[in-house]
Amino acid sequence: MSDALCSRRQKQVVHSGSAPSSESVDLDCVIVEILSRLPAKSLLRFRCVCKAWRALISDPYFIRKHLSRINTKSSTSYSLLLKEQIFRSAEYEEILKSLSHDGPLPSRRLDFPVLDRLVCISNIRIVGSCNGLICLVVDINAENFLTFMLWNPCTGECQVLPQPPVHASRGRFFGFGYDSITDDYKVILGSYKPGYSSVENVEFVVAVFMLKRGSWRKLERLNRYFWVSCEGCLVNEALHWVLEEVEDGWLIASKMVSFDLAEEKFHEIPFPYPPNPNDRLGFTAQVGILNNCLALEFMTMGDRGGWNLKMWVLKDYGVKGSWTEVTSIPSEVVDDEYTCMACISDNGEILMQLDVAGPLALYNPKEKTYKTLMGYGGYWYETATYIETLVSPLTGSTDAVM
Amino acid sequence: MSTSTDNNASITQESGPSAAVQDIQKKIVVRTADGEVFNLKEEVAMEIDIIKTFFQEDSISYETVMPLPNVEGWEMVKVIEYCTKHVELKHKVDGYKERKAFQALFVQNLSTKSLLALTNTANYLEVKYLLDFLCQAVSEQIKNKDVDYVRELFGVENDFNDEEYEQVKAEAPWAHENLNNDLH
Repeated sequence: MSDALCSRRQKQVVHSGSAPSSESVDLDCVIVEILSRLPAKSLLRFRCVCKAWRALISDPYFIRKHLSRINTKSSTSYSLLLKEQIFRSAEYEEILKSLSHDGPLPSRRLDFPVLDRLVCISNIRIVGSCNGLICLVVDINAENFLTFMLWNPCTGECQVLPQPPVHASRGRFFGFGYDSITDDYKVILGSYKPGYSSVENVEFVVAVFMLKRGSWRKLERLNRYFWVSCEGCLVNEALHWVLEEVEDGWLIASKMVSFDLAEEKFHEIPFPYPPNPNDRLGFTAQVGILNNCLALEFMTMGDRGGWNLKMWVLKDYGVKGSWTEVTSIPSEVVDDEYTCMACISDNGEILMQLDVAGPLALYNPKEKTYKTLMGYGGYWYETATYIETLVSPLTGSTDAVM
Repeated sequence: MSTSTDNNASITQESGPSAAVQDIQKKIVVRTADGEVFNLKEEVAMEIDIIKTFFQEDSISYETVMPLPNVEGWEMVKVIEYCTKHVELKHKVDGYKERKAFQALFVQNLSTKSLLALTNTANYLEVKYLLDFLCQAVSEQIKNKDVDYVRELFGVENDFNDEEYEQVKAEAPWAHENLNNDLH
């Protein structure tokens, strides 16, 4: 029988996300087992069935049980968050279906809580996603203070986090993830003011927000890194950024930097192969996630002047040498700067965003063809992959809720 | 404590040379709520934890007919079908496709209500892998259904008043849209 649900039956109407687990209801364990296998949308609807179901579906223990049942290895468990003029969401299952027919990509418009009238959506950047929570940052260039938010696009709940104790100077990087050691969600903000010639007399500050405590703290005694790519990629409970270093007066992508969420320390991960010196001028790199593995994209100058995109994946996170080349896309096929996102089908199709304002496409590496899913709208847009859960951005639906 | 030669629920009780042959086909007998009697092969019966516990914990003779007052005859048929297949596939190296095909056929002619009844039976009989499979099957069948359907299926009373219901619904109105209420 369900262990954490106690047997007191409560008649009160419980608001989602705030129900302490001691007031949850004793329901038939078969019903709990069935409900925990339903998609989040169905659960949100079935909150209306009766008060007991309402209480169960809001219970943090149930929410965690539901989260643990989601098959993160199957691409159909995921949804794509699209941020353009508005927020939209498209299910990966629908994206895959759209391969076989034409027409617009079915997507759902998301209600995003209105903040200050002065904030418009183009100032909002996606920091990352984890367990169904999206971390966003309001990043207005003129301002030095960043405002972070946690949002569950499924339940609609949102929390604006307190101000970080850090002025975001010229350079900034951030990331969001879950640490299972402390059973807590963390937001990382790094800020630096580097100089080209010397690394002395520069500021480098990193602050961490912990959801359970509800506050930020600065980290001490860290390695200092500058010219780090903005949003960290979450893999294996660590955040990853590409580091560029100055070489012969140029900023060259040189290695990856990882931040372990539990340990709260930086580590370095070398690139799979040293880039060809002849490619230096046109070399860029991006870190991403492919099939839940750390992925690296290299853009290099092609032989005939176009671009080549190579993708490498770290198959076995613990093993340094386990980088594997996944695909190499020549510019004859896609002639734009690409951003790859996630390998999403058994055929190995890769969802790609062609440049920051380019179309969204599915690339088939076996046939070297691609299909546009969403045309070029002329607006800069961002995407993030997430799963639909009931996790609360207020509490994280974690164990010891304060 | 009965010896193995006596643990034979078939009609003839014989010791001697033919006992070895009888041993291979040890059977356990159960009687369901509607009075139907089932002979199960021992290896299949042992998949059902409530039966296993009954006979093993108190070393009850296999001659005893175990009553299962919470189980209907048709449910027992289905449980035996699933457990027999499960035992068969245990010894196969690559049984994935076969299992999937079998599972699809298994639920094919069952209404959602019957599926739910069978799920409760699997829970009562304590067959974990069958329970997991059936819970998944039920969730697949109800995931696109509306609130009224689910109340009826589970026999749940609506204890919200109109205002409360609208309030809860308003928390996530999108969840009530674009349902595929196929007839079942």
